[in-house]
Amino acid sequence: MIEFQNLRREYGDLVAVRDLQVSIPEGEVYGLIGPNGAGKTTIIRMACGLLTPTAGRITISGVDVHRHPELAQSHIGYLSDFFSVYDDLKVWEYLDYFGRAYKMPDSQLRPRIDEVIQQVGLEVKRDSLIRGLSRGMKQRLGIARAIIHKPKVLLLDEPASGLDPKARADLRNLLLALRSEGATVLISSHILPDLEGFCTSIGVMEKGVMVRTGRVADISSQEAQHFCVVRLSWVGEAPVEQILSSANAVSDIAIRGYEGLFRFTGSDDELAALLQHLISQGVRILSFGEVKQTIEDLYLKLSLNEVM
Amino acid sequence: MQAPWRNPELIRHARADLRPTRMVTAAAVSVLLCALLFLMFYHSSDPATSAPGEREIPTALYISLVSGQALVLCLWCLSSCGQAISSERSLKTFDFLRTTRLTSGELLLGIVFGVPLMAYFVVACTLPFTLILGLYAGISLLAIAATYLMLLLLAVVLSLAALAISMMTDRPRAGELLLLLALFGLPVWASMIGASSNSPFPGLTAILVIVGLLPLYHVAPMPYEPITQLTHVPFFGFQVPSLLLTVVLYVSVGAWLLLILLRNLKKDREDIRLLSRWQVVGFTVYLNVLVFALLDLRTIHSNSSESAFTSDIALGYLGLNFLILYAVGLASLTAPARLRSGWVRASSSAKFYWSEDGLPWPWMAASALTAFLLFVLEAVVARPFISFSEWSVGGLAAGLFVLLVFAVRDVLFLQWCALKGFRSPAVKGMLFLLLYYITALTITGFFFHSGIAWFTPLGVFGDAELGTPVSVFIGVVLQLVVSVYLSIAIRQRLVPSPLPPLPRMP
Repeated sequence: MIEFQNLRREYGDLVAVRDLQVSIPEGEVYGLIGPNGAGKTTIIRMACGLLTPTAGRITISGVDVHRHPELAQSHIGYLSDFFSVYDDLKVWEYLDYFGRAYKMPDSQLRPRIDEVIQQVGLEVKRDSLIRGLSRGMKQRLGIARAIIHKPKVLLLDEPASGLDPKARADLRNLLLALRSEGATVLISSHILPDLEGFCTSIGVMEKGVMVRTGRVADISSQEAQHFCVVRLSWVGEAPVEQILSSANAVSDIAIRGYEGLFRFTGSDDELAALLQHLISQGVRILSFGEVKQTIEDLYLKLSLNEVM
Repeated sequence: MQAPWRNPELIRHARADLRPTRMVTAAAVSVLLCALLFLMFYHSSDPATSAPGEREIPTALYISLVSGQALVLCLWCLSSCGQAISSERSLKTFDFLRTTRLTSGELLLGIVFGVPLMAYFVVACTLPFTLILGLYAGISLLAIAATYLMLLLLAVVLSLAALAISMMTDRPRAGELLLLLALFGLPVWASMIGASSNSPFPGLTAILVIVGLLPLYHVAPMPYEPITQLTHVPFFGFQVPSLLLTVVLYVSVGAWLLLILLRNLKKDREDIRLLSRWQVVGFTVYLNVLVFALLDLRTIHSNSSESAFTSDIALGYLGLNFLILYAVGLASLTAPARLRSGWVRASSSAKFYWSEDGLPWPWMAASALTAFLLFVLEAVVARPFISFSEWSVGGLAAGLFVLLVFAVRDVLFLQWCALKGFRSPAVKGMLFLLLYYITALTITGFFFHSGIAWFTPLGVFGDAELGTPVSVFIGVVLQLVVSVYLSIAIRQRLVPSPLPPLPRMP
């Protein structure tokens, strides 16, 4: 669906994106993660046809974005981080404008406007001037604009930036609904919890280079082959740190009160044996289990731990 | 292409700007102003000498209203279109427009007529007044129609020019100021050249729309005698109505602006290149042909000796083409990233030099050659007035070559500045060059006269003392050495530097 082939973009002496080679299949929700300045926005802007690559090629649904921009853009819905809307238009007029700009036939446009307004929950504001909307509402209107023409691909650049927690939750629910409708989404963010449970694939960018890309499940399992993090809790006084220190395949132990975390590099059987050993040593275990890896954990493992 | 009335951008502006309350207010204010003007004129007229209903008052009212409409429309177009793109960019809404399926042409149409829509509406509200007053004053319908068509043409060209500036600048205020200076200063200056007695370019007066329109009102374009001839001006040797030449000038300039906008409107500001390489050469052809078309061979021929005349023309031609070569060079400067990628792709082949991502000098040379060939062609065409042998074709070729060498040196320096990573490299580079020329002229002017031709192109234009063939030759050799040095410096900056180490894989 989205193909980046040897994509490169330079700004003067700075190589913002270096020889990117990624393919995102249909229906995938691809999270582009990395610190500020990693090249995420540049990639999305090139994918939209807003920036010309210095070298390389991008195709969306098989259409070369820079050779046939208008055709490619009919498949794309784009939303950036901070943006304005035309305050002097009404909500429906704004969507009507973009529907026409995407050359939707009149017969489809009117019902689609109502459908999209309903989808983003702006029914009561349909005939209101945009200048009266809150920031969160404007962001929802932005999403409505991006999907008015039923694009196959959504390119979202830090869509949750500057939103309050309620608006972020709304946005997340909206994106989940779009995902369930089968849209292919490329979303960039440096607020990683926003992408949790939403992305099916991730790509980690560092200094313009894609350091790791793949399905979240695959990367998690690959990383899990190396080690896992185990959380445990217990009651009563017990020499837990001492027992763990003497155990095989255990490292990075962190104990706070009656809770602890440690890194374990052994097999599942060895982990079960360790639990048994703790109990046999008189530790009254309340809970013991592997910590599920979040995208943030994965990112921290994969990246160079730059300041987010 | 959508029908104009279905253009989304136009509809957007119509919806936002022409809401019923705003329309009623604008119409009421316009009508009120017309009524006030009407009352003022009738009140101030002396009833003893001019009874109401005489033609002077309606004529004066008509002129005042049309002037007011023209002023409002032109200033509104300049101001609103001068900010149209830069303000959308700063609001980050322009990217959304660029990602729609609207073509540059559709977007342009919508902006040019949509952004100043309120001004068009105000003019439309007052139009019935001017129409009635004009007819009552005995002005022909043709004159009124021609006036409004010319006003529309002027407004569109001004909007295109303002939009081009807005597309290139992030600071609308600076852009507007620059535009106002260029749009009001240049035509007035050009028309003054055209209007001066024995001017070789009387057609330049047509750059002022009013010069072409006044004959339709049976009024001489200028109050003094020689200018009355300007109701018809020479164009390619034929006497054509001044108004027709005005249309030709505005339409042709508008067409170039349109081309620039259509090429670049949907591009990112960093990717904007006003014209392609071939279009730049085309622009050279346009300017040279236009200047030749405006030249009144018969007038000059009758006023001076043939040799002095051809010498003046050749010098003027050299001066014009020196400016054109600079413009071509500046327009052909290549962004460092594109130059590098072009170099990496095809540095070993001649393709690099002629590609869109190559260095500017081959295209400057092509422009100079084109200008020379056009000059020869024009000399052949002008044979009925001046024999071909009177033109110093060889001298002109040599002069053009010398100017090309100097222009290439300066443009290579600007390209090097861009590669060096200066901020606003063209502006900074131009300032360095200005400093160089001032220093060179001061030192050589005081101590070393013949050195002027060594360090500046003035040897081509100066007298024999300043520009002896030997000193001009030395100047050319010096500039070629500097140009080669600059080319080597540029080449060194194009060679890909070793990449910084990749981030380690986990």
